[in-house]
Amino acid sequence: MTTDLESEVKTQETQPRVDLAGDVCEIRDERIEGIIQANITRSERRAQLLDRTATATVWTLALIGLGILAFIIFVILYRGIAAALAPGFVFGKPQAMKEGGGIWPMVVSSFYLALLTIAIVVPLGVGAAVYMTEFAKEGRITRLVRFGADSLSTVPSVVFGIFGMVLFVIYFGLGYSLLAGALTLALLNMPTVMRTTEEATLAVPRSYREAAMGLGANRWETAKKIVLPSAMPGITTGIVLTMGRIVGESAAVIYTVGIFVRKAPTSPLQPAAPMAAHIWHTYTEGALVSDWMRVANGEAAFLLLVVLALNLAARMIARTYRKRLGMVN
Amino acid sequence: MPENGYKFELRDVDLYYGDFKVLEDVNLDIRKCCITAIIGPSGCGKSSALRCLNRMNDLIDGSRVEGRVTLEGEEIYGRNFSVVGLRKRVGMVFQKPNPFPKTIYDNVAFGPRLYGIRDREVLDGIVEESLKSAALFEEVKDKLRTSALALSGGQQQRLCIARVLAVQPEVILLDEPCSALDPIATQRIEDLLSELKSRYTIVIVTHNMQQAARLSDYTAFFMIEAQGDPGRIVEYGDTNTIFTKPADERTEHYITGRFG
Repeated sequence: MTTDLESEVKTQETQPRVDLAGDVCEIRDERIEGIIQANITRSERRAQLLDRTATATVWTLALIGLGILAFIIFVILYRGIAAALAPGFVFGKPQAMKEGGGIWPMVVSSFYLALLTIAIVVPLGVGAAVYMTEFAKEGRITRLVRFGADSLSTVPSVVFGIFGMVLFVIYFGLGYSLLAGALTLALLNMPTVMRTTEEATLAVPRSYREAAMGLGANRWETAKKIVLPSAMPGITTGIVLTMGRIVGESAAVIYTVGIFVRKAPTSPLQPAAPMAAHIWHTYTEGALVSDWMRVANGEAAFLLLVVLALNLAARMIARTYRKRLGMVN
Repeated sequence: MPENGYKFELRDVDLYYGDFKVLEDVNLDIRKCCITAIIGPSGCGKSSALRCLNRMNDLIDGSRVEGRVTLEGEEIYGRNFSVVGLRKRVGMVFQKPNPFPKTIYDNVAFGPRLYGIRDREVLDGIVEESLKSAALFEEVKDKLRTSALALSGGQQQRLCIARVLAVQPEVILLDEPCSALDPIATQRIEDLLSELKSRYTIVIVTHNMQQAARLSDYTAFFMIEAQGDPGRIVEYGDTNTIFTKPADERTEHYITGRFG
């Protein structure tokens, strides 16, 4: 034994040092420590460099995106804001033959169409989404419905326009009308309303549902009294954003609603001319009046303001709701 | 069925989630106006057993119960038994406090409204009574119309108890009600439960053996033999016996902290 120990002590001078303290045995080797230290420093430096480069890249990309958006808004407002805010423009009568026309019928058309579409698409979309999340068993049918909705949302709006023209305008004999347009836009926006509602209801904690059912509520009562109210901020945001998309939609509207009217529509069965479609019409065929440029730019600026206002409203509505539900303080 | 002092009687109960057998041969008589504790290591089916009593397992796709579970002699998995009626009689408090994102008042009034009570004065009375029974009224009486989510965790859990009491149940099931609470809040819940047991039958699942020993009159010890096996009752009896001279050495090992 002693000889063994002695030989070990001798060899230790060239070998790693072994510290014995109680049960803990610690091996130290300065050479290995050095290499590890150097590696740590190097990888730290590399990580730092990578971190900085990545941060800079992401920031630059974000700024470019934001810059493009700001540029578009700036150009549209620069060219049109003066006309849009001029007296007698937004509330003025349109002119087909002479200068100085306003856009009031188009403004009415846009909002009329948006509200009509919402009235059709919200019951359908919200209903379908609530059915999917609260009632249906996950299976082939729910997968099929989701697949269908996802496929629909990738179809270009002009295709919906032509489909709407064939089905609603011609086959059902609705003619160019707000109703035909609203039905078409309802189809176009149904997937988004469904998806946003589904996301909002899925975000409602399972524990709320359990609590309600534990008190004896059935699925319908739970959906109506707990899930829908809790999901309301998300659903409302989705609806208002959809309104923005409807107001901004042109292709599907051109084929189903109309592009120019003299008077504001009063019935859903009348043709109308929502702003986006009218802008397109004025830019492509509006040369009959010499100030067509002014009308189109002014209308574009006003439309942009409307869409921005709707987006802002969506945020504010969601915030107020959350506050009322006590989700934020 | 003759009056025998039992609220629930479980006979040879097996529970399946799909093909997976969660519980096997569960036999349990739960006495009226007592606190029965269910203890055991994680994953032994304690919560699942609790959820058999108000059919909360129904919410899980593919769950199936074999055997007999009776409430006052009536088979709760029987064809003509109303689940809604069952859940009114057997209330449940969950692991994490889960008040609705509504006002304190609307939380407590949710159940009564569900059963068609619309009268303002009646509702006011129920809300006040329930909050008092849950030892919460004094703390919240001036803010009944504010959001329940602004309360502390312990207050939220007592609110959940008040919400259950508001539908005047016979049984209260509690699934680890204190696991998300600090010791002081836990103490208050325990005091409350001891007070409530004169009027209600209470079944509590707990991880905390001291809690079971302090609080309960009867204790059931659940265990699984190995991963993937169904949970079974190892021992069931009055709490004193279980904790001082358990009949089964596995119970002894568990309560002395040798595993679990």
